[in-house]
Amino acid sequence: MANVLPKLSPPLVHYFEDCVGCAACAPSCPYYYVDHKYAPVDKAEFLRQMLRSKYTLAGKLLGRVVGAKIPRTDAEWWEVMQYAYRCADCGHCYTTCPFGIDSGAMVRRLREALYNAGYAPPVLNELNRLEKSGEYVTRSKGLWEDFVKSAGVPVGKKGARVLLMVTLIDLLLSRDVVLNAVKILRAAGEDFTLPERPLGVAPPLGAVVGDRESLRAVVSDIISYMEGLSPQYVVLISGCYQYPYFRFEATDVLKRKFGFKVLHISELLYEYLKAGRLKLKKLGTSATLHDSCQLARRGGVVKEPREVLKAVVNYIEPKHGGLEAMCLGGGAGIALLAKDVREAIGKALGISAKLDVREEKFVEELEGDYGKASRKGVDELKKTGAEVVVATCPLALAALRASGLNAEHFVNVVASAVE
Amino acid sequence: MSDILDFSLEVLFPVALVIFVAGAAYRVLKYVFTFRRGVYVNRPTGWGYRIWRLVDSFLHPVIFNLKTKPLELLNGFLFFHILGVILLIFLLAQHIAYIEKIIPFYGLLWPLAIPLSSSTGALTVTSPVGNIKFVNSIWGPLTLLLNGDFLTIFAVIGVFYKVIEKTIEKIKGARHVRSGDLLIWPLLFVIIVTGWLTAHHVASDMTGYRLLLGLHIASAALFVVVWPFTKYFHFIWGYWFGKLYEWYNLTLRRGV
Repeated sequence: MANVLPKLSPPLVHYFEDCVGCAACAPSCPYYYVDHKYAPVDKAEFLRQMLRSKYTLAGKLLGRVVGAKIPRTDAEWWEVMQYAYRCADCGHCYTTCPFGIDSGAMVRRLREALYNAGYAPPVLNELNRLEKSGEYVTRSKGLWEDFVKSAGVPVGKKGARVLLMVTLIDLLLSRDVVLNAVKILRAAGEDFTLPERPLGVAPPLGAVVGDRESLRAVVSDIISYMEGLSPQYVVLISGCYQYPYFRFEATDVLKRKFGFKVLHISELLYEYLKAGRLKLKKLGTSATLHDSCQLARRGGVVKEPREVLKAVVNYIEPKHGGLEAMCLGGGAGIALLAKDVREAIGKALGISAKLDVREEKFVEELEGDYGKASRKGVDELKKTGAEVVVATCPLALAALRASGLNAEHFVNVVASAVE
Repeated sequence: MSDILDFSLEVLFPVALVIFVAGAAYRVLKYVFTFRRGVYVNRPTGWGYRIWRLVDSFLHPVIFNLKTKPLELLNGFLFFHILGVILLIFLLAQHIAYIEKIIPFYGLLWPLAIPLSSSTGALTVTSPVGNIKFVNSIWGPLTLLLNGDFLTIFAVIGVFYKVIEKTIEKIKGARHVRSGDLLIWPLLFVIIVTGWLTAHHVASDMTGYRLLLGLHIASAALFVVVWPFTKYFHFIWGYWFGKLYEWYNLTLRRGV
């Protein structure tokens, strides 16, 4: 059973051995406010228990007496899954830990242990399978062709300066956003192209469910496609975990550098503004920004979306923005399990949304907790008094709207200000 | 080797230091042997920003804790760590006198020495032999707070606070409270109490004094032994590695 566990690396040794259990991280986690048992330190402790069993002499000899434990039964693994999927991997606990322990990274490893032991939420598991096998491309063929026709722009053009990365989730949940991104690029006179197929379902889903083989295969496939078109920039619309993966992790996954640079669309639009390539009018509305944890805290894109927004709206800064962004709790695949989202994806890809009783209970409870976890962040955004809450990720947008906020995607706001 | 004091000084402490060095090397070398070179594309940032982010990496948890867990910060960080442990270990006059015998340049810290009591700066023994040394530090009126007696109280409050806090958390089912946590606190308590009793010459005769001092040094030696194998190692390694790696990962690599 010990082979389900990850190999040690210097950061993992640190996260494993140096936690003093001070729980200073606890108040930074949105799920801590759902139940104190979901404090980051306690979620990561499941992995620490497993690692003690495999990597320490005391753990091998004394087992549970020294806090060393690998789940043995189906019920024990399911309990671990409850905890591992109450983490949005937002990175807030990383920066509030006095020791720089990234509990989100520990939970990612915990999901790997779960996956290797045969445990993952069925919906995510199925989406991962479709992404890993490439089957999602054939299943979404009609949808994609229809989209490309309506976009009316070059597809698969080699040597274009910009390749707009469009995933299936972008298309399914925010087709209007993709079309507005196209509108903005046209207005800026950009030499750009769309891919000939969606680039992943919500890549890399292997990283979400803990399937390292899938992570590598999907990243390799998408990067190879991108390199085939040899753009100067690959521009992402999503502000979710795609950004840090393709911007910072993909080179390490494939162990080589690429010939293009990865940008979030807000970074490109900021460059346009500075160069005077894009003329924007003031909309006369007040707006605040909900920072995506992955884009801002883990990705460092803080200034760019603000500067662009300031050019089109009366911008109001939330109490906690940028690196201190309040997480809504939907990251790391949790928002994909919300009923509306999973049914929309299921319908589009022709996959069964049928779950057994235990799975049904798991996703229902998780969805309920996700709703509770988002409240703190939502309340803070409400307090800004802004007419519009701007989000950079379609899943965050869905959560904000479900909480009764007048929320709009960053790209749509900018597109409506294009002169 | 006539008594426990001689035994502690001549046998236990040197052995403890050897175990400490071996244990610390084992802990640190793990990082070296598990290292694999990665392939990263760094986002460039200015040195001013990098330095600010380095400071902020260390400062941010303190500010966050002050806002979210002020009692924890006051007891755990200020009373326990700063006043109760760090100052007491490194600046108490008796400790400077002892460490100076082993590491002569440590005597440079005499101007910062903290006296045992707020009422007298005398560094005495029960039966003075030779000149009596007086602590003449820069602290002035601050010695009302910065003295061994007060700092011992802070350290004891800190230890009890942690023991009670961890026990309550354990009862509530917190997973991060480990069995080792509950074992290391009594050791710290014994070190503090025997040190305080010794420094105040509570034992009325030389045999009792040597017994108490022997126990103080023996328990300190035990602390040195368990240091690399418990959470106490954070002061030597974990804290510094963790925050510096976080800074490298987020700021130098990602430009956050």
